[in-house]
Amino acid sequence: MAAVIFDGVTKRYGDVVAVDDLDLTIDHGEFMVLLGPSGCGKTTALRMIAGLEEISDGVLQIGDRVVNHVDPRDRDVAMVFQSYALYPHMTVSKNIESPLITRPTVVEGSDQPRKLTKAERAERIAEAARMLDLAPYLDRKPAALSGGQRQRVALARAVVSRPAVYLMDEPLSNLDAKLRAQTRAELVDLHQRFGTTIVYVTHDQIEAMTMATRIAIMSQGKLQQVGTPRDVYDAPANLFVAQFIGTPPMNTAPGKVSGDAVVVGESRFRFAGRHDDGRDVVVGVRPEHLTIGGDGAVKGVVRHVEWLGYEALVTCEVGADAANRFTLRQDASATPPAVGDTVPLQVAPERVHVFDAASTERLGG
Amino acid sequence: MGIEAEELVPGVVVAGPRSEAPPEAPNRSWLAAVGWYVLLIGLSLLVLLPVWLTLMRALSTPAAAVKPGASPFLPHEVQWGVFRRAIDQGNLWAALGRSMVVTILITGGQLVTSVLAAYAFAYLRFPFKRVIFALFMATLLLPIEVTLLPNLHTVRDLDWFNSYQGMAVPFMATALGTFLIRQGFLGVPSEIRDATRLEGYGHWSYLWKFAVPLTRPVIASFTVISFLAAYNQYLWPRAVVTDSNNWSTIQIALRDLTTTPETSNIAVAGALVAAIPIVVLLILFSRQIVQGLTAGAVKG
Repeated sequence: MAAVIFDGVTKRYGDVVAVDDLDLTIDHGEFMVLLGPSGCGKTTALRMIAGLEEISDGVLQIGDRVVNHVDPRDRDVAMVFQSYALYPHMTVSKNIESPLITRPTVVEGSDQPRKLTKAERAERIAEAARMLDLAPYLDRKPAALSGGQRQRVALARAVVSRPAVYLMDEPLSNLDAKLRAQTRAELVDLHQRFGTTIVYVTHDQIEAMTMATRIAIMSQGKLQQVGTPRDVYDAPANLFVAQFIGTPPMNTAPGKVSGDAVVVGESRFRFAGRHDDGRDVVVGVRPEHLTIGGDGAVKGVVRHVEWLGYEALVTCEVGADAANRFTLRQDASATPPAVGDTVPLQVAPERVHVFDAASTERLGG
Repeated sequence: MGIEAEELVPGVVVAGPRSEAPPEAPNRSWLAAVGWYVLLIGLSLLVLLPVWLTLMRALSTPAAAVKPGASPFLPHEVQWGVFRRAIDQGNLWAALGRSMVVTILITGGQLVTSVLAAYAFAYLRFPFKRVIFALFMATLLLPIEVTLLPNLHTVRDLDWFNSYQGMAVPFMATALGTFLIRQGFLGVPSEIRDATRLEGYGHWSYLWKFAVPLTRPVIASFTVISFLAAYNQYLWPRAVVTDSNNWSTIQIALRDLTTTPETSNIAVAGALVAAIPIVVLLILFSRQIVQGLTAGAVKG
């Protein structure tokens, strides 16, 4: 069992706190995506698992072992780097073999890791090459491979030692869109075949939503929310998560609770549940939950229409504040409103998110 | 549209879409290529000219070469045996052998010490690293004349006059090599270092299996620089060799190649013999030298 447990882990560089008191349990066999914008501490957290960064405070466990002071080679982890970090002077075969040469490896039928024989190493290389369609390229050097092939070599180098945990640091970011989509599917397939723990770092929410069993969203070194892709999308824990997940992002506007609604200017967003009257809040609605029509409790002035072929994005100004712009998705077959029109907007009360204005945390419901 | 071949100039067939390309374009590029080749051949001749003049001077009888109207570009009253005479008279093969031993010792020593020191300055963390590196670099400012006397006293005290170690050991460490190779090591992507750490490669195996192979162009160009400097040394061997019959290096042997105006071409021939190892070195390492000199200068 190779769960990864962060228990109050902090990483400081001088006065700068890169990871702040991180508590996170990544279960055995999970595909955990650490998601967040640049500089949020996700890569630092990953590098701490690898042993490439020292831990300033807290305890890090891999499986049953505390690994705070364990050498990277003895952590039984493999990492795929953003740039792949292939060894340019070695052939594909030698690149894949590399981790097997120095690192003791667990073999079937024995719990004790040991160095593999040459024949065992050759067998492992052939297996990894077969799995990732690299057999024809084993004698080539990385410079003679395409981006996708290099990426697969990096994966093969990770899988060949059959580690307890795979660490992946934005491994798809150098691929073009088509290859990225294809490789996403291959990674999910690999995860299902091995059932091994994967910790995957990205700033791309599409990657996170499509591959993760759970997502840990980070910002400014702090963990914001952990949950399944559906959890974090449907019930964001705070305003940061609400606005970070989703494209276009969730529409938000400051308002006040009045009875069963949040009042923004003259518009009333009815919500499910109960909140204190007069409380300063931020109301949030996802673009796909907002439609044109209804009783006119919410009104918007159309400011912008983007026709994308399969849908149109209509942006409306709600309330007196020009900053309160709400975008809604409209089916491509519908006639979009004209810019300048005032239109009624509606949203189901259970689709209205309410956040505390001061703490930005989600409120009930 | 098919690709057709057309003869733009006699004997030169260029393939291209006949109706799309402006008719002048291939002509212009052909002329430009010819222009470049003429320019490059001219520059090459300019560089080779001194070598050719030296060869002509060596082959010509001195009296004939200085006659009024004698062209320096052509041999006059050729003496094919001049090289044999230079080698015999100056005992050049023996001197060349000693020079090669000293040069290989110095170059090998500089490579080992520079690679190790460069690794320490590039990858290890230790107190006062920057200050120590600055002091190391400061030694580049000291000309050999400054260190000549202290080194000479040390070598004399060690009783190393007329010995290979006396000629080689004082030059086995160099700040230039440390600096160049350190820069090369720093150019290795940090992710490669991280990957090797995860795979369990320690300092020693990382150095020889990854850092050195990945900086091979830099190390090769430094090898050439070091080899040339060591091979061309004159002042130091002159100072520590008192038994020139048995210990002279090629540069000292050339100086001792006594000539008269009537046999001055023998010394010139000796200089050409002395250049043989350098020419061989440049031919063997030309690719690495160019790579090393242009490393980082062009986008790869």
